[in-house]
Amino acid sequence: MSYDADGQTSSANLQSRQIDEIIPREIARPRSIDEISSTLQNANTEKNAVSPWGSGTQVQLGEKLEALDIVLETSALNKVIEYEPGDLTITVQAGMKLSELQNHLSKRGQYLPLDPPYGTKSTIGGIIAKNSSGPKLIVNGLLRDLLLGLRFVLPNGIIAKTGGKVVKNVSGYDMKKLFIGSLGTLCAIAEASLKVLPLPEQKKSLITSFHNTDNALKAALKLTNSEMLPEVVELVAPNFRELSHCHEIPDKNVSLIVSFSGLSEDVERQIIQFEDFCKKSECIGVSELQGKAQSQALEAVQEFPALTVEGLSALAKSTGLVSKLPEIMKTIDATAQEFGLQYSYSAHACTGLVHTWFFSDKQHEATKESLTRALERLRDFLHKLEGTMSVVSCPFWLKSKLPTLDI
Amino acid sequence: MSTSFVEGLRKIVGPENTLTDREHLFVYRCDAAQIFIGNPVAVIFPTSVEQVSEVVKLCNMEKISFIPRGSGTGLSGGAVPLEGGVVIETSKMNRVIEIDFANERAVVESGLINLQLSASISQEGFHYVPDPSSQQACTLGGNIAHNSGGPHCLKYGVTTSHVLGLEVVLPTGEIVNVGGKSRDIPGYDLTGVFVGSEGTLGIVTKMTLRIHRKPEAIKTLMAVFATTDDASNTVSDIIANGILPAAVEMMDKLAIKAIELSQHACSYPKDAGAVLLIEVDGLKDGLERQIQRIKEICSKNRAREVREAKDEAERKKFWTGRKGAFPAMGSLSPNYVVQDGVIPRTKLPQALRKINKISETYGLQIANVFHAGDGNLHPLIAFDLRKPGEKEKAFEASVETLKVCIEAGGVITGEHGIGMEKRDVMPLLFSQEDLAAMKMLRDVFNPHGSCNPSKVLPTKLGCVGPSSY
Repeated sequence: MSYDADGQTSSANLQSRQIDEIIPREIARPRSIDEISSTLQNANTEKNAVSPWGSGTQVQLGEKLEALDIVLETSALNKVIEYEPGDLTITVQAGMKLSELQNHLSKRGQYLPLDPPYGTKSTIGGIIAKNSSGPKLIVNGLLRDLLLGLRFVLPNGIIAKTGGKVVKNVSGYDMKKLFIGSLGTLCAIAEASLKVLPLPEQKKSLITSFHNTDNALKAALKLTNSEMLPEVVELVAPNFRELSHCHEIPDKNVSLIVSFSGLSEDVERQIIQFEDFCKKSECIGVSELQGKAQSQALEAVQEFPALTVEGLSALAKSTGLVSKLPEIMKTIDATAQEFGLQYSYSAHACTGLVHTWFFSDKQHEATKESLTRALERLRDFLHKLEGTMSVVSCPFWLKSKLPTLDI
Repeated sequence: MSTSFVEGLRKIVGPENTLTDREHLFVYRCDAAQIFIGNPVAVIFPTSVEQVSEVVKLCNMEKISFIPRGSGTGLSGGAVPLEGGVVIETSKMNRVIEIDFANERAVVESGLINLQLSASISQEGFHYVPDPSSQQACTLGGNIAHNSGGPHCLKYGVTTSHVLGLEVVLPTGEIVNVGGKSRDIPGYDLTGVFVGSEGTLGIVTKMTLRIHRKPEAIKTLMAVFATTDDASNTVSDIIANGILPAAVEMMDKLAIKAIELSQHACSYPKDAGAVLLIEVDGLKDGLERQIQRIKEICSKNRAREVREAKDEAERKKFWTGRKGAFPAMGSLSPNYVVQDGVIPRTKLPQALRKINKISETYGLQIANVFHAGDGNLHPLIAFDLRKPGEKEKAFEASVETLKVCIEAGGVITGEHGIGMEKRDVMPLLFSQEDLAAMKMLRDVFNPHGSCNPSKVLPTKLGCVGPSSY
């Protein structure tokens, strides 16, 4: 059962499915959960290593892969199984792309409040396996809040389900929590039931710049400590525009992108209230991102972790308390300076999650060493604050130098 | 059970925190379901996680099981010490360790009462969101065990969405910390696995929870209908119009009758076929228009009357009846069985009709009080324990309501947990493979079944049918 679109397995295809420089011997493309089961059952008997594969956008996540014989693609499992808008729930196959799902939902005025990187390419199964999320902060907008049930196949081929299709459920163990973020190490996800929301009536965004990160964070903190309910509060680096090529973001200064969505009265009031805040917080300027500018700016923020950064580069994803952000941002800067690296960042100022690209146009051994040590230094610092730091994108050789997942 | 074992217990927690006399143990034989009776050999009240760990190790040496217990308000027999065993009661581990308003977190011990957490942060304008009806009595540890809900979980999510990390004593006695200070940390979500595990994977002693600012404004409506159909259609319409209220609760005629006869009476109209309590919250600007839209939807669905609470006092009054609905059943009959199956919202009218049929078939009154917003039903089946055979009939009827839920594409419990009560009903919902996978998970933590034995999973995988008791 290995074939590509032409029905043939070509070496080019196998090459393109390599993970951590290991090329698989076979590509399986099951058309049903039963076929996933038989693939895994056979692999189990033959002691073959299997890697599930959605769109392959982030298959390199995690530590160095030890073995790879079969890539198990979910591309043939891409249908909507069940959708009842009145229940605000939907069940889809794991190979369905998030963008297709959103399209389907939008026709009924609904959406899945997830805006992860690789937004157009990622599959639902992949997003679940990675526990992907983006800058949007609905109060309960992570997969652990939105996932209602899963049908999956265990490595020995057993087909089982966890959870259900309804929004309240404590029947048995909450195994689906274990599979979220499991990077395909525990099971192959075949189907997922998700909670959806009605599309907001209105959404508006503001962008405001500051002379330094401290001032920007002061404004962000004021916002999050108020009664306002922003959907996005993103702190972006002065060179964000240079890397993302998004002209809606000013360059040369640190900026805060803030979005509000919901009932139009609420959105309007918050826009005015926040503009007022900014004017009182030593901002350089504040303006509304309208129409296409809004969607482009938000998409640039969403896709920042998916950028291709030229030269030697690595992406650090750190979590920490919001109150520690000023310290964290200072340390990121100090670390980059100390090790002679350039850097850029996008930080969710409401949750303390920061994506930092460290990069350099030099590629020699000394720079590689500097990059490794910079990441180690940042990780140590985050640990002192009881936060975490994982390396979610890096050249292959870096995986032998330090653990990429901070567990 | 050897005297040296009891001595061992006394040495760990102190004799003042050890109960072994039969009369003292009486209360701890059951939980709020009262129909499952266990036989604990001792009940201990530890004051630290180290004590819990030592007790677990001692129990393991003597091969005696142990059962964590909060306030014993559970409704499925989850805290019932079935095979003898030591009840580890958490009420003395009830401190608030840290409140971090800036980062919206609270670190508390598992014996703290749910409402007390909200009370301790109320002045700063914060609250802890999950609000089960038993919140004045239930512990947060119990909430973790059951992944408790409550009316406001419709908009804000159930307990698991509000847990950041846990301190757990594993069935080996080892103390572990899972989770952390943020919501999105790398690695397996062991926190998510422990929540809702009904005390069968370990004993939670401390937890880090999310706390939130209270909403700026709240508006509450009581809408009165002639039929549950009209009320159900109203709920569907509200959702279809893109409105997600903070809470939508329904009570039927019999439930209203019970409430109005009880001390929880709050002037619900006694001749109504159904009453809906609808609450919206958020920023004050858009709320007026939202409540107007809801009023229109109610009228469109033939609401006889729509009352908006004019102040906090009236809002509290509206809620008194709903929150006191279960205990109010006492005004109808000395006993009741309640189930809490969940159905897709859109199947509400048919499900209620089928439950009506069950009531007729079994000749038992069934009052319906439930979280209409998320399809979580609570059919309350009234019976009299003194009448021979009624208890069995009531339980059979209750299982029939679960079958209605499963047929409608729903599940067998939304909040109360499997416990003892529904463990042998699990095969109606889950295949043998599903249950085998769950057993694999349980065996990672609790391979000998020493921690809260005989709960959640069917005792004989392969059995189908209601628990006999």
